[in-house]
Amino acid sequence: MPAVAVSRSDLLSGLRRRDPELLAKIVKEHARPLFRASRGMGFGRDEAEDLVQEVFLTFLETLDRFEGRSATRTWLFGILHHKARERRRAQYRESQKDPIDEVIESRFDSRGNWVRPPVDLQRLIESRELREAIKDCMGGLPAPQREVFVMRDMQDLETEEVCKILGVTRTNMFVLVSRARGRLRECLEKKEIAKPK
Amino acid sequence: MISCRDVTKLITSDQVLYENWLKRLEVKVHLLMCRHCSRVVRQVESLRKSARELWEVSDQPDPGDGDELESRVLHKLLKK
Repeated sequence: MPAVAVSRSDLLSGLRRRDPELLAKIVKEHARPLFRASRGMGFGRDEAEDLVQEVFLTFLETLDRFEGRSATRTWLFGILHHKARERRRAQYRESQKDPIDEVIESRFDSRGNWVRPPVDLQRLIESRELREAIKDCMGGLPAPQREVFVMRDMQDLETEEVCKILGVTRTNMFVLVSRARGRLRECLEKKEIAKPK
Repeated sequence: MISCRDVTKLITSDQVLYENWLKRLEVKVHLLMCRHCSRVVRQVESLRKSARELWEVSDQPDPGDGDELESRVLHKLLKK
């Protein structure tokens, strides 16, 4: 059956009275991406499903604040982020110091030239093992960096949207993205080097 | 002249997308001359491409991830 477009005001009033058809539409559209994002953040299957459940409940409870402020997806992922943070009690403001900064810095001399140049990931790419290697390396990312990587690189969300969801500045976002990719690049290079020729 | 460290930082953070045209030109010229920094660009591109594929693959419903998940979520919402 073709999808019927619903205006924002109809959507809001329908959701307020818990219209089963509209609830089903919202759940169908967003439940799976939210679940996958939760799994990508490192939550187990059951915990991820609980999180999705909480996100929708909070969404319904906060409809008045949602009105007209942002896209449904951004609002839902914003709730997911806050719920995930509550569960982990993690500090999402990226700290000034992170050991990966020193690792990356050690690859350059004092003038900023390479002393340990990047490794070509050719063998991992050719053997089609890059995806699995990334999955494996993601396990080494701290929660906030992992979350940013899921949104920015896996889901391909725009920087501005990720900033809005996480409630961080663009500068903070640059630091998170750079550290996440730095950690993953280091990890992938080790796997590339270890791979037999 | 812009250093390899600065180019790497601008590329891996996505900051290069928000720089002015002059800085972006500086980065482009540097990349034409520096194979190591070009490799960083390729690494980030491969990382993003494979990450998106990983996301697409995970869209295939595993047991419990697909319609059943949606039904369970909807069922609980309607009970509230």
